[in-house]
Amino acid sequence: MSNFSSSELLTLTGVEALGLLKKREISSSELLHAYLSQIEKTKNLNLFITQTPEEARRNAQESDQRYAQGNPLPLDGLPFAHKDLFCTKDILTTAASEILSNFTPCYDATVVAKLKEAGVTMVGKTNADEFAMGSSTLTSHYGPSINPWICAQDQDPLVPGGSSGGSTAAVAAYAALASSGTDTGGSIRQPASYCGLVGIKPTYGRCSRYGIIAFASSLDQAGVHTRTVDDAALFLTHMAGHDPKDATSVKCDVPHYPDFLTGCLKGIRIGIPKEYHHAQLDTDISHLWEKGIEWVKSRGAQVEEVSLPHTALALPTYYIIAPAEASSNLARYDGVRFGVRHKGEHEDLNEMYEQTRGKGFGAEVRRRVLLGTYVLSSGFYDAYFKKAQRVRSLIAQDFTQVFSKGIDFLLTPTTPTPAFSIKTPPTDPLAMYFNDVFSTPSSLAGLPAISVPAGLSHKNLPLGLQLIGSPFSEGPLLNAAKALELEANFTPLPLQNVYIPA
Amino acid sequence: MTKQNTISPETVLKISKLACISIQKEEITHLSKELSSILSWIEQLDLVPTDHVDPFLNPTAQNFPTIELRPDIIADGNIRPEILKNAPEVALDMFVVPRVID
Repeated sequence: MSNFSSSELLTLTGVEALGLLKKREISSSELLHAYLSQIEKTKNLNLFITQTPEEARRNAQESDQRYAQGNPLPLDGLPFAHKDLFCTKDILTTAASEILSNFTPCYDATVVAKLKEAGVTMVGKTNADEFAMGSSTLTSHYGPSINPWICAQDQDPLVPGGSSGGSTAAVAAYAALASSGTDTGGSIRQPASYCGLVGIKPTYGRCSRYGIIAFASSLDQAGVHTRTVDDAALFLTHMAGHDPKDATSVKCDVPHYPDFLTGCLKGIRIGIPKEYHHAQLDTDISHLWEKGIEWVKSRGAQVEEVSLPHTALALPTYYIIAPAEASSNLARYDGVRFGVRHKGEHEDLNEMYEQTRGKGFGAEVRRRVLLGTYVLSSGFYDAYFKKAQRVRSLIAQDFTQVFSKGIDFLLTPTTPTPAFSIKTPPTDPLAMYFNDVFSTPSSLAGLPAISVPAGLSHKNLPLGLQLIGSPFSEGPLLNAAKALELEANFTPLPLQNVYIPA
Repeated sequence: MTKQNTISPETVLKISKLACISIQKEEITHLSKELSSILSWIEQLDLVPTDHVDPFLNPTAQNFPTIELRPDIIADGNIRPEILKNAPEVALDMFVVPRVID
């Protein structure tokens, strides 16, 4: 055993841990041991649907052997959690839904396989909103995860955001060093912002979607949550890449993203979209945005106001396209080939389907599948779905025009508010959907975007700023994020302050 | 068919049949109200002229019009037991479903 205490081990970044592992000052097994103890300590946060400590211990031992032999893998021994939307061979994969509560895939998602090949140690599968539909984890069949951040004055437990909320809460609570997420309309960036983490959603096509349980196929993209930008660059390098099993993944070389991180923005032009000055934007966030502008300027960037005139249409467009694609994707859950079949007598096959799906899906999933079915139904397809696809073109063109004028990145808030109370969440679906107002436009356009923790609200809750780039600009985008990180000097949640409910 | 501003209880029943999702009688009114409210919010898109705008399919298709397809070759095979292990009911290596024809 090394001289490192468990709190010292848990607060190492991925880059720091790799350095110490390579020098053999710490071992993969002791690093894992610290994380498994923290997972046990934080179990009341409901971070994981499935824990995999035995496989993890075996993997960590193998990792230590590789270090001993002097041939470690690039991410060897780093404790990692996967959102339970990623298929994992022979390990329960539920999509946080009752209907998949007994599903064990016979293959790994490509992103899972790539990270395995890079040497990460998977500690478990994290909680999320059911089928990634939500912004809070409140729609999970397994109950919500709880944000390890809490306002000291009112002690009111908060949502971690969503849909990848279990993944972000786990990293913020030091129950994983990093975690995967999927982002359809903001599901990596919004929870990263609520939990004080870095969260990057790369360009659509950058990471393979193979083996990710599909929600909306023209929007879904994998990404990663970490405590630092350096770690995000490191992990993304080993997640991205073309995959013949996903025809929408793009053949485009994956650079070594850490090489881009100079923190210098000289010659970079950053646009501030005027349409993001929303009336309902929280004052703390609005002030932070102004600070962000000064920070990127101080790093050498030129800042100017730009216009994305169709921004306000992004949410309604998203709420046609995403439910429509979901209604089609979720048609496969019929209780025949996999998943839970409704128990009881069924008059015929149709009744079995209806009962299985009616009972197996939660309220939000049913609402979206019904909405999607309606907008795709005979006679309404052109009026709703095709209309939304046309408006989606206009939204994407707004970005193309801005980037073609020489703007490199856009700087915006990630969310309109900080994390909200788990006890009094918005009850109106439309109010809940508003959480994603700043993240859906770039999702619809398929652009890479990153949330960087940049400050605290007056209640000491974390707030994030978002940077959006042009397609496949992840390297320079991560560098711009690095510049923000250096200036913001944000402190992750101290280990001793992790909120654990009784 | 012209667009309607509301989703009536009858329409809720119809789409629940189309989606193969059973719903309880007492849920219908609530779902009708909720879906109607989402729908009327969505209808702000009607104000945007899009006659000369092409539909956006997916970002890869927009940027790379020729999506490369792989040859249809079996890469794994002989995994029948692994596939069937997730099925709720199996007999003679086949999926079993309730009666389809009387």
